[in-house]
Amino acid sequence: MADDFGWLIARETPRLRRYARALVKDPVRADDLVQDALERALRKQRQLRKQGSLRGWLFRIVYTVYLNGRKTRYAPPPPDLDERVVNHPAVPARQIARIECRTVLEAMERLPAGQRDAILLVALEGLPYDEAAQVMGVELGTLKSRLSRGRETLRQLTGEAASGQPPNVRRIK
Amino acid sequence: MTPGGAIQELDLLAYADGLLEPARREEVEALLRRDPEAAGRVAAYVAQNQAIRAAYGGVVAEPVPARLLAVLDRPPQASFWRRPLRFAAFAASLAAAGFLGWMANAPQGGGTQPSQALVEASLALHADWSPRPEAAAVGSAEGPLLLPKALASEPEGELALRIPPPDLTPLGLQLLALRTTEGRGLPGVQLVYGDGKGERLSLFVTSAAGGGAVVPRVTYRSGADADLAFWRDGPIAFALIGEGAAGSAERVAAQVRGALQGAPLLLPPATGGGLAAGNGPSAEPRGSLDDAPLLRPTPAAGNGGSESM
Repeated sequence: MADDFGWLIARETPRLRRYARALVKDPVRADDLVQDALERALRKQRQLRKQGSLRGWLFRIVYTVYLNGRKTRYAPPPPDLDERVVNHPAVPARQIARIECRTVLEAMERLPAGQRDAILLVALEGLPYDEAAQVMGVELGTLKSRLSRGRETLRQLTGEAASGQPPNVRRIK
Repeated sequence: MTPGGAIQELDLLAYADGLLEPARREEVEALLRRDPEAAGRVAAYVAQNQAIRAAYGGVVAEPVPARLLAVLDRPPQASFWRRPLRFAAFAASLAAAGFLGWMANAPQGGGTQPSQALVEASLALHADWSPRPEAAAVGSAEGPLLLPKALASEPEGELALRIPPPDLTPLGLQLLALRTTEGRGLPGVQLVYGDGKGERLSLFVTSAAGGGAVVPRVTYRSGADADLAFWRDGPIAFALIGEGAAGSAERVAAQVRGALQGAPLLLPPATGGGLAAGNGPSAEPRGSLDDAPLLRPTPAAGNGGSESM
């Protein structure tokens, strides 16, 4: 790395790629997003002095860059038609876990973008709720609301897939 | 998510995400034992997390494409990161002939070789430390650790990195104390671990001169009285000094490196500089703790660290 700032960012780059992959899906476009974000981070590095979390700062840059280009430069490719394999009767047992995983991913795609992006920050990247809210530029309450609604929708969608009808849902008090 | 209050949907979410405080976690677990629907809901949330992580988990293990590394390799802009990290001169003068002999014979490691001053200062500080029962506890073992401002590359920057103290309890080692070593010949921090049987191990975290490899290389030395390990990770240099059973440097170094590999590095606000220990990511730097640097960790269950502070 050219300097210590580069070292710091390089340390986080694998996670940035993972988050970008989850947002964009297409690997090449996801790395385009990361590259754009890294270049922005280098240009904006003085902002880091006011930040408490390097990781959160970088995720926020990735997310901001993504929002600016999600309908153009990082627009996802058409849906994967191979998902027909989900209901194929000859699927080996060892692939079942992957199929279940993809079912959740399919359900994720049916969520509003704000809910899906919030869930990715918490479930995939393990960010605390307050830090995820900062990354998305929303209030903590908004973040929690998106998580709650998104998670419940996911549960219903995946429950529908398994039983043919949505489960009886009751809010826990 | 207040302990003692009615358990809400968000408590279940936070439980599934591993974000609840221990007291609230116990309350939620009590509910889950008597409410199958709540337990099913939490199980669904956990399954969602697992599915999402399984789908993308492999990405972090992929080699970072060269075009991304090339971005980071470009000459930096003028900034406080530009100049090489300053490294204060060491003042240690301990005679460590055996270890100096090792250094003379050790292969050159492209920047991974510890300096003589680092070896001497580490040994001196390890020998110098003793439990101080009168010292006040200043934080939690789960709290962050601040590296000294020597990591900042401009005097006005006063930037520091905050890293969590590595958890060595899987090796039977409890964190006994943390102290800054600035003014003691090493601008850094010393974490003292014990095995509950009187054996001690010191982990020194300090700044390395200039940048470095992302992947650290470790240099080991086993002596009659101590095991040592030195390595660097970017701008951070580590030194391990252990005694006897507690001093299997190679084993401990692997644990430390593993614990820190995925740990988030925090950059605290440039308010005080110096070194501080806090209770969490939101804790503000408290300035130098040179005179009261000890930290009393929360004892881990089932691991009898009996050495007093």
